[in-house]
Amino acid sequence: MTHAHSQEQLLTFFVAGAEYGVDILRVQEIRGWSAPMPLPRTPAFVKGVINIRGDIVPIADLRARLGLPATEPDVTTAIVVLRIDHGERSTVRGIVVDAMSDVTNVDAAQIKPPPAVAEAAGFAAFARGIATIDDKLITILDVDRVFPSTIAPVGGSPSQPPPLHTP
Amino acid sequence: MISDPATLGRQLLGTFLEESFDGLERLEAGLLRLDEHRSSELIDELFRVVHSIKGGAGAVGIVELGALAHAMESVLDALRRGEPAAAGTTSLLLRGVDALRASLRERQAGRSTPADAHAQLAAQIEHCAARGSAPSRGPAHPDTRSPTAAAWRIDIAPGAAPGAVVIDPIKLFRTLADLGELAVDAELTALPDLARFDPGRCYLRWRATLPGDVPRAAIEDLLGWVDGAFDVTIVPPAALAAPTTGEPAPLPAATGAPAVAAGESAPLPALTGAPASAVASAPAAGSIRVAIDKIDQLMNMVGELVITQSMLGELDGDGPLDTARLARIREGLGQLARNTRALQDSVMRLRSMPISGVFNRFPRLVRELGIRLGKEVVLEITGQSTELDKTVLEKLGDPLTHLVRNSIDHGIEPVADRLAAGKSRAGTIRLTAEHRGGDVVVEISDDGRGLDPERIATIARQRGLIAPDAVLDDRAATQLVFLPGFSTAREVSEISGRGVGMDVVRRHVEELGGEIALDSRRGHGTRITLRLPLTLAIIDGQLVRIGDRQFVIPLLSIIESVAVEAPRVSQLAGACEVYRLRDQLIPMIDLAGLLGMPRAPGADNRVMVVVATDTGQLGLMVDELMAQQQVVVKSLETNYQRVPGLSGATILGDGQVAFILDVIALGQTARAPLSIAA
Amino acid sequence: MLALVLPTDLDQSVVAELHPRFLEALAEPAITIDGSSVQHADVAGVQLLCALVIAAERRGIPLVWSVVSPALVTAARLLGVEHVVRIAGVRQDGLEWFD
Repeated sequence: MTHAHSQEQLLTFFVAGAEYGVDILRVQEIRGWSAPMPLPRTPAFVKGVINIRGDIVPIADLRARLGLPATEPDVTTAIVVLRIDHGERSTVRGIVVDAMSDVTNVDAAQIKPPPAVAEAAGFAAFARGIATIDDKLITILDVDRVFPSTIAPVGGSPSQPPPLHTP
Repeated sequence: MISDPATLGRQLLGTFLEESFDGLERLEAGLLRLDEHRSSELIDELFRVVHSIKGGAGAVGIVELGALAHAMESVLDALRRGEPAAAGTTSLLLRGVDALRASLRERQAGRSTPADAHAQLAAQIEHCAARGSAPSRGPAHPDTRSPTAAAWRIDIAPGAAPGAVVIDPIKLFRTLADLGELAVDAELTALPDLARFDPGRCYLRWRATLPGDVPRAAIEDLLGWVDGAFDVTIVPPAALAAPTTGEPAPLPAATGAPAVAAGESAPLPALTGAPASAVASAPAAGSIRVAIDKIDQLMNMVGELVITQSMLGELDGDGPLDTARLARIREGLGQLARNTRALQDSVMRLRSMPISGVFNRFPRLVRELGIRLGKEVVLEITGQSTELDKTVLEKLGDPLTHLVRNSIDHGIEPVADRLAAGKSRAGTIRLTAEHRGGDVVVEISDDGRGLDPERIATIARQRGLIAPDAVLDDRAATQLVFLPGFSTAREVSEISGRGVGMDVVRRHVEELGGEIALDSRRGHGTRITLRLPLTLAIIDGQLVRIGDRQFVIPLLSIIESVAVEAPRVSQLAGACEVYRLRDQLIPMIDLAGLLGMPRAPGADNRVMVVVATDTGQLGLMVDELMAQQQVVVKSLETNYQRVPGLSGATILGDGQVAFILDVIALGQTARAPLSIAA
Repeated sequence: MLALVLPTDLDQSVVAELHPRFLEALAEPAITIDGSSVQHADVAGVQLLCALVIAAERRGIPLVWSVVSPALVTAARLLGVEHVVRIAGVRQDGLEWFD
């Protein structure tokens, strides 16, 4: 969501020692960690689904998404539940983060495009900028692109088989 | 003398109305059965229904029903005494049902209908009883049209931009009345309450009818000048004259009373246009009937909620907040969460209703359309108890009605054609509904003439929908009917509605999140399959444990479950293991492997659940059978996407997510080389 | 008990001012309508009348016609709302409507 004036409010959190932020207006809620039910034949970065008040919500592992090694959840591990827009549809999805940080106001002037180096690491796919606040670097994630639009099932899809002969 | 509804004992009236609506439903269902299966018990019951409505109406001061009910009583009495029923009697009595229902609905809204509103219909019915035959219009010549056998129907609604009322429809109707006997019926459902009302806008709509022999040009001339201010639809009289069986034609009335069968006044042209009795069998809109056991379940849950709440309340108080107390509070909160979840599920379940709510309009529809078009049609319905969410149910009505009408209009051939083709006299339309792997699948199939791929391709070429030199196989050609612009738009067929095509039906279905498929064989028939993935489908499920997770297998797919005995297992060369069950060899499916679950080799897999798939039986290997219960199907597509092998998910009592297995897809996967998930 | 007297012209030109008067009528315990003066009615006026009658019934306020003009009866009949405004059977007096 673009703001007419220059300030944006970010919710920030830590993943693997680095700080990231998302537009706070996209945050539906923050939950403590609960183990998602794994979905069969999905790529590793989709950890599974959890139940939020009766809704089935998929949870992504940002570490896996960023190509970082996985880790065990601990007391600070949290799930940030986001509202993702896909054109006319919107879905609710969550990301696992190591720890919550803060709510920060950011001026548009403080946001720079992600550096070329970051592109090599695949950030360009879902970072929309880097903010410098005091001497902290916060990577601002584009919420709509954290999850790819379609996620191909792992192991191929079922094909029409020849009939099995049963004596 | 019109009695003021306010002076009637309201409670008495309410009871009478409720019982009468029920009675009318039974009367209608009974009349529909009367043609094929007449029994004295049935006629007795029908007589009793009319008799009690007549008596009750008199007791609560509803005078306008007297003559009509009496006439219906007379006919039924004659039938009861064994007198032969004339052709057309049943139809007349059904119209009587419509009329009674319409009057009762008016009364429910606090209005009365004029005492003479049903005089004509009553007279016609009396005539049946007196002479044992329905009044006949005389032999109809195939080439001439009896002046009142069919009528022009003119629908007038305020234009798309309702500004000040520019042209007065009164003038319009006066001039139309010059052309012939005009009957005007108004629809006021859009009229807001006086307090919210904008006097400068027109909220009324009308349906006017003129005799069929009025020349179209005359009507169009008159209506030309309102074009723009109002939306006008002209529907020509039905192409066929009324059959000679003596089916009484609707008689136009000079008063404001509806000309066509009472009760058909609303709704104005829409996708349905079904007889009004088929629209909303429940008297009041915006309410549902709920099975008692669902309410009981709710009450139980609320009871448990109250217990949990008082338990937590006790924990509040003075004293140290020590570990023990904290633990109990935590436990209480967990209980609270479970109670709330269960309550939530239960309430959602209230919204699901059996599809019979939509299906039950069709026996009447099929019968009347069949008569009108001179075709014999048998309707078979299965799966009436299949449940769907109320909203989906309501939106399903229109597309289904359109498809059934299509089937009768274009699919089923006239008797002569069928006999010439070596088919049975009567065509059959089959309407089925079932849960299939978490979807609800509704099928409409007929054994009529099927689609003609060549003709369809020709029309598509003519309309410029495909290239002139395009070559299509038969299957591709039949799919062309889904293209927008395929159906005839100009001339409105009274039967199939306002030029609505399969593309609109498809859009309706897709809006519900579903899919529509069409299969047709020329000369043999057509089958249309609607697949609706529902977030609130409810299925009976068998919970099974695989490892530390639970999954749900739809109970309907399960044939049986057996404890695995090692000696019966053998390896089929190059494929999977098979189990020897009695005299069958059943392929064994390693679910854990398919679902990519990490497992210790040789663990469990103690139970085999034998399921039915499209292509045969399969044995799904699980560790343990758990409970059987009803589960609410949650779609994975709401927030994620379709996952192969799963048809949805559900939330168990403890809040855990359990996936519902798509048995058919699993069967297909299993036969492809097994792959190991990353 | 309010006696509403409908004007000579029950049409577009008066509905804006009639609307609030009708709304006030709904505050009364009972309403009687005298429609004998109506010589000309159009759809806007008849619609307003329908809304009044329906609103009164919804609120349980007895509404009765004392007398009505043939012109109004014709207008209601042509628009197919005769039974809505419950005008059938009411004593008629006044001028026949001519266009």
